[in-house]
Amino acid sequence: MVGLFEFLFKYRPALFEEGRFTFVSPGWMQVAALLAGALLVVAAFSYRRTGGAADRTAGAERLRWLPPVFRSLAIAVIVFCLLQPALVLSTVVPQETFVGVVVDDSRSMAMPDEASAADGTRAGAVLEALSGEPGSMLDRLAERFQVRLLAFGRSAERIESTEQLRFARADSRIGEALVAARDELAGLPLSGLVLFSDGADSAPAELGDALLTLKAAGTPVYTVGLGLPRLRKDIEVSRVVAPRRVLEGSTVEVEVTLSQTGFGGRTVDLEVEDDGRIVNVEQVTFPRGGSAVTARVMFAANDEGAREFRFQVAGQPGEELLLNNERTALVEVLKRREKIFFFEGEPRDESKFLRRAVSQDENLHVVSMTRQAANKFYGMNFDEDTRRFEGFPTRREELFEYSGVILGSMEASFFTHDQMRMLVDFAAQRGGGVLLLGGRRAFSEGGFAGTPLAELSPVVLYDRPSEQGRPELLTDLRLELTPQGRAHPATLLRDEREEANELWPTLPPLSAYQRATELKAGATALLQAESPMVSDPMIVLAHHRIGRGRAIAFTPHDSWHWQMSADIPLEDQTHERLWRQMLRWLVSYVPDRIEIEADHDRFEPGSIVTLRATVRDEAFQEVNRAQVVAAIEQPSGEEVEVPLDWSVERDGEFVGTFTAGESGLYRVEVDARAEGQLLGVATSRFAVDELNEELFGAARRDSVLKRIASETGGRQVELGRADRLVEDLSVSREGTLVREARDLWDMPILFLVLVALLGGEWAVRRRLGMA
Amino acid sequence: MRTYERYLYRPVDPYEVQREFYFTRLAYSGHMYRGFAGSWSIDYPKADRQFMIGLKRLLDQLDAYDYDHALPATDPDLFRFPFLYSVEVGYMALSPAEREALRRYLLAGGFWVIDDFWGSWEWANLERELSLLLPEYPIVELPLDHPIFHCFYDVEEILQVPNVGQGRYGGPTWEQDGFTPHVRGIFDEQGRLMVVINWNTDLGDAWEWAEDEWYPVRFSHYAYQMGVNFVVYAMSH
Repeated sequence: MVGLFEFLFKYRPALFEEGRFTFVSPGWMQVAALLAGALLVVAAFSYRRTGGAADRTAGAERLRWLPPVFRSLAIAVIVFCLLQPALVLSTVVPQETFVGVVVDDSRSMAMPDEASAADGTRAGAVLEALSGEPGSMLDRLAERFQVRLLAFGRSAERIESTEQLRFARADSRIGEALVAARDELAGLPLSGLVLFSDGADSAPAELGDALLTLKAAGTPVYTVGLGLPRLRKDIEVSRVVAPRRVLEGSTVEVEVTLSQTGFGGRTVDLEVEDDGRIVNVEQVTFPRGGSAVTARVMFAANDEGAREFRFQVAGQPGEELLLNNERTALVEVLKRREKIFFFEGEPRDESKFLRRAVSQDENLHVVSMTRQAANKFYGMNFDEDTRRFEGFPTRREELFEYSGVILGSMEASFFTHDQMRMLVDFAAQRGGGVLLLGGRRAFSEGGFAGTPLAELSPVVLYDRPSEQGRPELLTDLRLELTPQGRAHPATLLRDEREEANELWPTLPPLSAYQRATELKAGATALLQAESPMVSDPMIVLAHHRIGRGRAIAFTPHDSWHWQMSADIPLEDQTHERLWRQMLRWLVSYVPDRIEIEADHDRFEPGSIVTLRATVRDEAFQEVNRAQVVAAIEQPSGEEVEVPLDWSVERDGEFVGTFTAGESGLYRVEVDARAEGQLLGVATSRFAVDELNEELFGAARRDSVLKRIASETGGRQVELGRADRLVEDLSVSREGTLVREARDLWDMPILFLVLVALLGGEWAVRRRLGMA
Repeated sequence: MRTYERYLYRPVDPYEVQREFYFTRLAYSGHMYRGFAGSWSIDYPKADRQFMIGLKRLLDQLDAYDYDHALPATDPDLFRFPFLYSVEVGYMALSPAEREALRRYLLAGGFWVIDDFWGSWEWANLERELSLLLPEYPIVELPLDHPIFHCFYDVEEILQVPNVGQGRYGGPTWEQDGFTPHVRGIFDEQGRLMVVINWNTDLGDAWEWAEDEWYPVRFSHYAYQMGVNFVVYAMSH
C-alpha cells in the first residue's frame, strides 16, 4: 500500500506527514491563474455553440455537461503544475547529526529464523547490516550521520564495533535500554535511535514509562525487526498462574497456558514437578485452529515450605526452541491452622459429622458454637488463642480473627442487624469466606430474604410466609457436577479428576429443605441435583464473590450419610475429603492482618524487588501510622533490614525496595508496630535466578516494535531498507537542520489524472458525435 | 411385622416427617428374660417416651421425634440414626450378623449409651460381648472432667439411680453386687467416644417414673441431666 502511494505521489506518506506543502512559482502566478480562468470560459462557450449539431437523444442530453467539466479540470491540473507545488522538509546537515544504533545483544538473537542472513540467524543479520561494507545499512547511515553503536541486555552501553557483540545476555529490557542509550547520547544533536531487536522484552516494568520519556525528549526510535513473526515449530509454556500460598495438604490449582505453532491437533504431556518428583501429568491437546490452550492442573501440595513447582512439556520432534518449554512457580506451602467459626442453630448430625470430618486436619481449627436451647449455647474448640464469647460475636475483633465462617441452620431473626452486617463485612471487607449450610432454618426457610444475610447467598432467595410451618423436605437428590464443577478443586473427591467426576452420581442421594433453583448473577454452580419434587434442577453447591471475600452455599442437610451409610465402606474417605477440601477452599486466599509480598515471585539477579506490606488492625481497618520494617534473609544467610514507608496511594500500604544480587531463595519477615505495640508479623518468600524470560514469545514481536516506533514518533523499518531509514532519519525535528523543498509537480498521479481527464472528454465527445 | 414392632403403638409414624434426632433403642438378641420378648425392651416404651418429653423441653432447639423408636442392629436403616440406647445388657447375646452391623455402626460414627445392668455377672456378659464386638478398643472409666459430664449440665458426681421399686420404698439403691455406680466408655483411635456404659445404675427407670410422686426427684433429676448430656455430646462430638 505504501509502495503504491510512493509510486503515485513520488514520496512516502511519512514525508507528507513531516513536510509542509507550498507553491514555489514566481510572481506571474496570478497572471497564469487569470489566463486559466479565461480559458475555462472559452471552453464552456465553445461547447454551447456546438450543441445544435449534436445527438439530441435523452441519454445524450444527460452527458452534454461532461466534456466542459473534463476540459476545465484538465486545465486546472496544468495550472496546478505550473504553480510548482513543493514539499518543504527540514533535513539534517550531513555528518553534523548523530544516530544511535541500539542492538539487542541477548540470547534470543541466536534464533535461526532470519532467512536474509548468511547463517540464517537474527544475530547474523544484524552483523551483516552493521558490517560497514559498502551498501550495508551502517554504511548508508554513516554517509549522512555520525553513528554511535550501543549494545543492550538489561541496559545499553557504548560499543566501538560489532565485534563486541556476543548475543549471550540473559535478558533484554528494551525500555530501559532505549532510555539509557538516549542518556548516553545526551547533549549531541541526535536525529533518532535505530533499534535492532526481535521485540522480546523481559523487563518487569511496563514499556510505557520509557516510551513517554523518549517522546518527551523528542527522540524518535526507528525499529528494525529481526526474525520471523511466527516460529515455524515451537511449543511454549507461556503463562503459569499459581497461588502464592497454600495450606499444606491442599489441592493446588494452577492455570498453565501453552502456546504453539506447527503442532495443532497434537496431544502433549504437561508435567508438574516438585523438587524432581513428578506430581501430576496432564494431557493437553492443542486446538487445530488456534494456537494457545489453557490447562487447569491440580496436584497436592504435601510438603511444607517454599516449593518450586516446574511445569514442563517435553521437546517435540522438529521443535525450534526447547528452552521455553518450561516455567516454574514458587508456592509457599504453609503449615498453619486456619481458624473457622462454625455457628449452628440447632443440634444436628450434619454439623457433628462435618466437624468430625475435619478434626484430624492439622491445618484447620474449627471453633463451634451450637445453640442447644433458647439462649443456651455450647462452644467447642476454643483455646488460649481464641477469644471466648457466648452465642454470635458482637464485636468485629471477635469475628474477624477467623478466616472462615460456617453458618448452619440458624434463622435470620436470631441476629441483630449489626451482627448480620458484620457477617457481610466479614466477607466483603475482611476478605473471609462464608459457608452457608442447608437446614430447616437456613436460606429462604430461615427468613434470610430481605435481610443483609441475603447478600451472602449465591442462590436467589424468596420470602417464605411464616405461617407455612415446617418446610418441606426435598428427598432423593442425586448429585451431578455442572461443567464448572467438573474442573473445580473442591469437587475433586479422588486423586484422578475422571474418577472423581464419575463418583458424584454414585454417592447416596441427599435431601434438602432449600428450594434453591436460581443462581444470582455472577454466581457459579458446581453441583446440582434433579428432584421429582421440583421442576428445575436444584442447586447443591454454588459460590460467588462478596467484595474481597467469597460466599459458598451447600444446600443439602445430610451429607453425613456419606460417612454413616451401610453402603459405604468404613475406610472410605469421601465425606472427610469433601469437607476438608470445602473448608480449605473457604479459607484459601483469605488475607491476613499483616501481609508482605514482593511484586513477583521470581526475579533476575540484580533486579530491584519492590516489597509491599499491608497493615491492618484487629478489626481489619487499615493502619497508616505504623513503623514497618522488612527483614530480608538472603540465600547466603545474611540479613538486611529494609524500612517500608506508607505508599500514600492506598491506606495501610507500605512500600520499600531492595536489590537482589544473589541467586537463591529469599525470606522476608515484616514487623509492623504502632505506638510501640506490635501489630503483627508476616513472612513471604521470593526466588532469584536466571529466568530466560525473553525466550518466551521468542518470535519477532511486531506489536512491541510497532508500539515503540509509533509512540516515540519513529517508524518500523524493514531490515535492509537503509534508504528509507536514512530518509526518515534525515527528515528530523532534532539535530542540525536545513530546509529543503522537494518538487511535487512531477508526481505521476498528476500525469495520470491529466490523461484520464482528456481521454474522458474525448470519449464523451465521440459518444455525442462531437468529435 | 418384625418381632420388635409387635409392642409398638405410636400416634405419629416416625418417618412421616424426617427429624434430626430419634431416641433409638437397640432391639438386640438375648436370653429370654422375665417372660418378656427380650431384655432389650425393659421399660420400653414408657421410659423412652417420657425421656423424650423432658429432652424436648430442655433442649428446645432439638428437632426430635416425640416417641419411642426401636430397631434391631441388622436393620440397614440403623445407620440413619447415630444415637443408640440399650438396657439390661447382662442378658444380651448378639448374633454374628448383629455384631458385624453394630461394629460397623460404631466405627462409622454411631454413639451407643448402655444403661440399667447390675453386678459383676451382668458386667461379665457385657464385657464378653464388647470384647467380641470391639476387641481392639479397651473399656475405660470416664473421669468427671470429661466433656460428657459438662456439655450441657455440670454433673459433679456419679449417682446410683435405683429401680422404681427400691426408689419408691427407700430401699437400697443397688442390685445384686453392684454397689458402686460407674460410667465407663470406649474410644476409637481418634479419641472419639463411641460407647458410654452406665453400670450399676438405672437411668431408664428414673425417666420412666419421673412423674411418680413416690420416686425420689433427685434421681430423676440426675437421670435427665445425664440423658441430656449424652444427647448433646452425641450430637456435637
